[in-house]
Amino acid sequence: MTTVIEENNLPKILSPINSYEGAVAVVGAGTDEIYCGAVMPEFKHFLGSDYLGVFRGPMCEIPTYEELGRVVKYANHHNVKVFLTLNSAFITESMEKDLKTHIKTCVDQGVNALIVENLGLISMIKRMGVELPLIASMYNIVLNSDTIEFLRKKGYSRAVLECHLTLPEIAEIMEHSTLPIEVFIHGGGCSNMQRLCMLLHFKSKEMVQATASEKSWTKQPCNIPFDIYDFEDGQLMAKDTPVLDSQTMCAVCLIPSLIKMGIYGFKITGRCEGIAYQKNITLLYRRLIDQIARGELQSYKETIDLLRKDFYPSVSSSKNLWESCCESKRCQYPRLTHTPYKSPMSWHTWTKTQFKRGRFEI
Amino acid sequence: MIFTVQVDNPKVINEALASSCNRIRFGPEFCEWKIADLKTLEATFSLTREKGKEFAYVTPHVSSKSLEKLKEQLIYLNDQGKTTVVVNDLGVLNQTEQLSNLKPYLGRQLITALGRCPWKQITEFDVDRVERGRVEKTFYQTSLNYEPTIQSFKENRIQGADVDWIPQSFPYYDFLADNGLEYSIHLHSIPVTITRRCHMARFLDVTNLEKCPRPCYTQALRLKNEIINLDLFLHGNTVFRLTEPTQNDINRLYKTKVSEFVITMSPLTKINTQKDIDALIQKLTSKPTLSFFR
Repeated sequence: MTTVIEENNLPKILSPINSYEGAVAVVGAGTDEIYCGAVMPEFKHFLGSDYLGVFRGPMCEIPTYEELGRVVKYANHHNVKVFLTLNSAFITESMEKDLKTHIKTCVDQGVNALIVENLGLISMIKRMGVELPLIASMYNIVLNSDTIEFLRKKGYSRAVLECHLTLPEIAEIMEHSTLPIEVFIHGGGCSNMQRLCMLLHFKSKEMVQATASEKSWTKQPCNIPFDIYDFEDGQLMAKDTPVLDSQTMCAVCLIPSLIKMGIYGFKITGRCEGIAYQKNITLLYRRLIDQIARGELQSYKETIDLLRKDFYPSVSSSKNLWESCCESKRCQYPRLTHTPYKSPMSWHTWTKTQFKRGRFEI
Repeated sequence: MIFTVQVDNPKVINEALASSCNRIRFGPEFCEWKIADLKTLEATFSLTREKGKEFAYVTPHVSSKSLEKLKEQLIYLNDQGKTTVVVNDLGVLNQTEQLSNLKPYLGRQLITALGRCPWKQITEFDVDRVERGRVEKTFYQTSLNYEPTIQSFKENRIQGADVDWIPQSFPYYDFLADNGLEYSIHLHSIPVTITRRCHMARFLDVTNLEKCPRPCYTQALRLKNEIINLDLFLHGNTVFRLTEPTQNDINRLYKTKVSEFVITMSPLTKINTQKDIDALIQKLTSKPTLSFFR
């Protein structure tokens, strides 16, 4: 017996982009909504990298306001809304003028909503007379329904949950939520809570050099294996242990549970990724969600089985999805301590590799 | 100036109570699994009052389940009269709204301070000097260095905020006081990154956090890697940097509007006894060695 889910009860797919071409690709792949940032000209020269660990940097954002306008026009024409990411956890008096100009220019380009963390920024947006819907970003660290109520009273109309939740905790939140809720379903998977992670901006020369070499695990400080000593007596307890790495990346198996909970939006991480990744991950989740919507649970399970067998993490690895992810329980929203240590290979890296190699066709 | 001892382990509270501190902060700042039961809270509250010290309650970020546990504790504290509650979760802040005797105080997890971890790009890379200066100036501020942010929190009756011992940030802290917020400075440990998937529990094979034996009451770990070249310390679900207050920094702070020094008892700070606490308070209150610093 099949159970068909009505379209209104299906979660929206929110895809990341950083270019007009990306927007065309994810709209074609069946996304429901797009989110993106736009480069602030005042900040773009700083190393082309994370600006103050707050903005993602030019590589992750739409390069010009003119291009943002084209994205909005194209997406809206295809009934896809565009949300502007302003999820700065940080605003100071000295940044206010530049931010105001940035927001006004983006709003003039027609964006449909703003993704915001900072309460001061909300206050500023309201004083500017901007009346767009406000979406609470993951930087708000939503771990309970009281936080959602707090955010609702501050003027938000939707919220994204923190990734560091378990499925039962999400279900509990959904029972009492006063706002529509989004969850991250794919990619990212930081070991630490992003808003509170200041390791993000720690990139020494040695790390950058090592990243450029074969030691790709040095990309983020939390991926690095550490020698662990007892602080009291200085005794070495373990060598080369990735003690801060408990990344989780994949939610393909969780889709039915999340739909059942009434999640409003499934958000894909990847504003800093290439177009192929943004398109293909959107396609993947579109396919899986549609299979569930049509009541084709068997096809859905078969697709996942295919993924497990035919996705390979890297060119040099002989491990497929099952061996590299499922077997070591690298799922989104797991229990909080169970994840075994392993040599980390990000989901981003291996999915990109797979699509590049044409190993998996949707 | 108020000297406060922050402690989450009820077993060492007597050391803090016997010290010369003015106030006790009780409760876990970072870990919801360490929230005490109501009975322990009541006992600690009574003991603190008996010793003639002020009491403040510290709460971490919380899941719905832990928030339920906190709710009855907040009601209890509200019934005791004016009490400071340090909040690190917007849901907890929402709960304090109807409890008029509670004085909510912003914890470090509701404030972004990028300087908690050095930004190597500022110091090690070739960047235009003007741009570097501009970025560095912003980098060492906090998310409260914007008046509308403070006003927004004040709508929720926030009385003050916790800040870190980051000397480069000292010049920016008085902005809080100038906009009507008290501020308290934490000595020694600066949180660099925080997880809910407790790294220490995982390393020590704790499989159920609800029944965690709390190894962090007695143990901290040092993390070393030559590439990262930064001293990091793992204590529970938080990675810290450690700082040792210098006399020069103490002198500088006395010229600011800081209202409270927070001394945390933990294996990480190595403040474990009354003697440790009193020695530190004596250091903090000793007269500056170079008078022109004042």
